[in-house]
Amino acid sequence: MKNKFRKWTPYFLLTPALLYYLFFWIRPVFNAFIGSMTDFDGSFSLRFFIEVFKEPMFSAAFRNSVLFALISVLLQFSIAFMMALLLNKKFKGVNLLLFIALIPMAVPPAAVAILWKTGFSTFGWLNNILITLHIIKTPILWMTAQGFNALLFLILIDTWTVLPSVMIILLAGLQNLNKEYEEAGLIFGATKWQVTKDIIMPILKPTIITAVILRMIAAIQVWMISVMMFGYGRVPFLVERIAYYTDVVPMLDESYKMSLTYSVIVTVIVMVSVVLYLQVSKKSKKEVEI
Amino acid sequence: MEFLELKNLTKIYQKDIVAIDNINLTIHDGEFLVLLGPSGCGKTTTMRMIAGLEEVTKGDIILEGKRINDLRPKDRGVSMIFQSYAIWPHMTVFENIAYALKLKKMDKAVIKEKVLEVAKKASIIDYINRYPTQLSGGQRQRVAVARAMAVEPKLFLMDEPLSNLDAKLRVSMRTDLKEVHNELGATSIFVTHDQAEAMSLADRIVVMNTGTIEQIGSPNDIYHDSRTMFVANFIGSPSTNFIDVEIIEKGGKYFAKNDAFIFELDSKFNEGISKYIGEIVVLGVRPENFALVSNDNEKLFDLDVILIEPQGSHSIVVGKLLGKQMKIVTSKVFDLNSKGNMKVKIDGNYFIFDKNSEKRIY
Ligand SMILES: Nc1ncnc2c1ncn2[C@@H]1O[C@H](COP(=O)(O)OP(=O)(O)O)[C@@H](O)[C@H]1O
Ligand SMILES: [Mg+2]
Repeated sequence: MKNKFRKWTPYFLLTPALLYYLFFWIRPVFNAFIGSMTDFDGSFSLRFFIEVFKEPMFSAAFRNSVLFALISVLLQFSIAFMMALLLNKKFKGVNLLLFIALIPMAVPPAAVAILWKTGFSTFGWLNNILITLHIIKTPILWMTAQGFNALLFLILIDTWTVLPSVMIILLAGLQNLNKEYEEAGLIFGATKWQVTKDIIMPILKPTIITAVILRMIAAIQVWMISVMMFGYGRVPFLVERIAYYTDVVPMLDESYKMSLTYSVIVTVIVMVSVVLYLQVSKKSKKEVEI
Repeated sequence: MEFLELKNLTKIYQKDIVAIDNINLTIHDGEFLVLLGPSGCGKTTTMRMIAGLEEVTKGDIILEGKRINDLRPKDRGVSMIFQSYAIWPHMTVFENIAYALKLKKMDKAVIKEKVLEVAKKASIIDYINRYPTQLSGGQRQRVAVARAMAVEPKLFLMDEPLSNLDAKLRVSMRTDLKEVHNELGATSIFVTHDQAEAMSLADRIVVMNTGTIEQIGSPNDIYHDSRTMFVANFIGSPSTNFIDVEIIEKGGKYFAKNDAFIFELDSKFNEGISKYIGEIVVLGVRPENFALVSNDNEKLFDLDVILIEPQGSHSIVVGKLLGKQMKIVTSKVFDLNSKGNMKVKIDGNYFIFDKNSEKRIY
């Protein structure tokens, strides 16, 4: 009797959380899937998927999202890892450096966009500085950047913003690492680079995977900085399209359905990317065999 | 040419923490040298400077006639067994041992042969494909030894390699380590805070204390000819008994006197002790250099016995003399409840120390 009760206790205690998930998480997700795959009258139809795929903005948004995710994750991880390695060393002023490196974390995304927008406008502070320093003569028209340049521009701004958070995860991992692993590497003939590649990175792999997955998910879902900097439609992203249909043209008949369909597509892309990444990183473990 | 020389070696951390204070030390080719001292005396720092893991503040490290202060660790020809073993957790035992050889771009078949050879020597051949988490502490220790052996170093550095093992394993591992050393003919520097370990392993012991060297010598030298009170106290278990005595002279003979006894000093001390007449010095007597006597004529003093610690082959008698604890080792077997007074005399070697400098008086 008592045993049986014990067995059910954890489930009982979890009930509020489970209910929460059921109503506020699983139900809307489920509804979104259903909604994207039905017509207005409720019958099964892939009409909105076809409409989404036919939209000229979709292919641009898809390409931009993928490129943004690939380039920004790679860039952010590499820079953050180097910064973490540096900040993990003990030298004078390392704490001050860490403090400075963390500043962007304190700036909210909307403020980031404003900061950069005012900086990059034709007569903004960046052109001012460059002209004062005689590096350029006439202002550069940053804000009129098109296509890939505009995308790169957004990647740089995003990188500036999220670098500290990626770095702090990696730094925490590094600080937990037994220093003697690294020193043993140096004694047994490895260069600093070989120690990083063969010893630190493999041991740090769980932390690296966490950091990369968090970044990847956020990068696939990027939209706000694009809208803040360039407005809707200039540099489209998948999630930017969702915002577009719910915020800009909510009155159209199919707006709701279109945003549901985009949501489902983004969800699937995120899940597939994460699974693929986990698969790839698991494989790379076998690399160090005899 | 000496194998390894430390000249005026000094290490200062953060501007004012003097970890190593101007030490000089010569290590001979092929010897097993033990750095011994209490925790925090600078043993690890010394070893890390030799390995190249710690920058030298001042002084020189000279290996086979060449100054190596600025050489990278990998270019020094040393290998190290770390206190935490530092076996890389993401590599199997095989990979751990093979890694250094791979970096040397050795042929795959040669690597395999070499790894298997040292694994056999270190008795870990059965676990060769396991990961470190699947090994016991003793097995990990052996992996660390095998990894260090595989690179055929000029110099083995071992930083308290046995301190994480249980008492029995520690004793059997130290025999194995000594065997490895003898077989390879390499030079070894071994760090420990355990004096028994140092005594049983070392060709020579370097006793360290707060960043300086107290004494260098063979285990027997260090034990029977301790130069300072620190060494006499640190080496030996139980450690040396220290008794304050006043030096007096009577008819050309010198005596050590306190409230409990008066003891005639050996004539070999005559010269050194003469300037201490009327002063308090410290008499140091190792526990086995006391003897229990039955005859009142023979006794030097009565020891107020508190308890007996039986050790099987011998007993430790713990007692009090003039309020201070004393320990005497005797081969006699006692009833555990033996209490009361025992008659004691000094029977064998004893030291006399200057009370201020804590150095020996000869
Ligand atoms: N990185 C460091 N920074 C500051 N002080 C240190 C550092 N490493 C060691 N020390 C100090 O140097 C002294 C010697 O340390 P160590 O060589 O580790 O002693 P041992 O190995 O004999 O126990 C100690 O007082 C210790 O606190
Ligand atoms: Mg130490």
